[in-house]
Amino acid sequence: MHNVGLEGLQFIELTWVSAAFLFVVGFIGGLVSGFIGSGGAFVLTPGMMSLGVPGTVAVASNMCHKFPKAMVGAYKRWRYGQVDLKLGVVMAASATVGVQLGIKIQEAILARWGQAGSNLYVSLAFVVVLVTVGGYVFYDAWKISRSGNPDVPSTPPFALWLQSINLPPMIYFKTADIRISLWFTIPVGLATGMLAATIAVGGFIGVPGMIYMVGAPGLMASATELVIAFLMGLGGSIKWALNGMIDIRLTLIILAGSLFGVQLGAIGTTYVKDHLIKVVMGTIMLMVAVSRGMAVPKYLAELDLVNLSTSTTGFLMKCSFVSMCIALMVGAVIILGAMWKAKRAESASENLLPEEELAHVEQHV
Amino acid sequence: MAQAKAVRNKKLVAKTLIYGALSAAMYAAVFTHTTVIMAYFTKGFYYAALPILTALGFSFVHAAFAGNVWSLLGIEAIQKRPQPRPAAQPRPAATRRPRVRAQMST
Repeated sequence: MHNVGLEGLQFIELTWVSAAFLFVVGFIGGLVSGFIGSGGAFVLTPGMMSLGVPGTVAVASNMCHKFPKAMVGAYKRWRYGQVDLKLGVVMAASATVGVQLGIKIQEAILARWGQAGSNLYVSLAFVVVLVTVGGYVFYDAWKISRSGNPDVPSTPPFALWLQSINLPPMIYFKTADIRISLWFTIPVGLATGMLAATIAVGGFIGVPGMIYMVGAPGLMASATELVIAFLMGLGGSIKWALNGMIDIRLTLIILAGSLFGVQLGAIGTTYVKDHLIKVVMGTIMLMVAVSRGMAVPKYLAELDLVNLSTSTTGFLMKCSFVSMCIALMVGAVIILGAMWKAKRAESASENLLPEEELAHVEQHV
Repeated sequence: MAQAKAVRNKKLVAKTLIYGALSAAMYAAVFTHTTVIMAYFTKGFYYAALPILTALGFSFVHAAFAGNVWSLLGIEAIQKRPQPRPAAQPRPAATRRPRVRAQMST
């Protein structure tokens, strides 16, 4: 049998420290994914590479942990009534085409400008998409929290307008209770797939797309994104496995942490208001944009567009990785903080309830 | 009520221990045979099924363990209380309409 994976590739020696690092990042990444439907992958791949794992093995092993994690998260959230399976499958179908488109664009850039050009394109895509979309998501979350009525999720006007256009074939998504033309779901799916092929986190387009274009509530969009992540992750993992690129040891260590995290994140969605999904997503996206922005000078220097010393670019790359880890940590802290607050409020109301009932009875006597 | 809760907790502890032991055994099996496993799992083609099925198998067992651990720690999804629907008002009892009777005196 032809051994593709081991040819020219060195699988790393695992130490307790590297295993603990992967477990912890897996847990935090899982927590964020279980809550907002994506995230974690953007830290895991560079994190594995910093341990000496070759880029392709890091991407393959990360993807192989992603699909079972997304499956568990999707199942958990489906039980809470947050998943629209039909919407997930429809979006995943167009996202698969988007992935192929994204790969073609990447290949064309690689052939024209080489590795440095490709890296620059990825970093710029990160910055432009995350600043634009993340900025809007964050602004919307801020607007909702200031509106004084964040409990009731309202359908964005643009989504309402798209839903009002009768362009066959029209599809009805039962759980989300949305009737919309298939043609309006396709661009969201395509963009999700293209972003997944470019920056490995399609959910940063998929979730806002489902909220602002399709009209799904934030909780449902983030839960449905897990279905898309599962289907796309499974397809991608099979492709990598056929080439023997998956380091199952890394996959299983990350999975050990992320299966705890993803379930905690999914439970967390039942504690919070709909707009908190947008707060967490917007915050992470903007912080990751800053982080990737720090990597841009290195690629510009490699293309001889600017003059920078190796030590400066090395320092910027380290800052970029650290700020990316901080972004993930901030997301996790917001989620855990919101869960803690909600849990305390719930126990306080449970303790208060008998007294309130008593007062109510006394009033009527 | 308290008895039912105790029985439920006992069952939960038993399930957590079983899934935990199973998960630990599976991890031990992989990490004590990494050389052989890596050799087969990276062969590609038909052997591609090995990493995929392994990841799926681990996720079933380890996810069940992790889910039970959170439940044991008291971290469970909040059941959204359904909003009480307004109670139907009882229908007023049917009353006979007074009839107007005209009498002609002869």
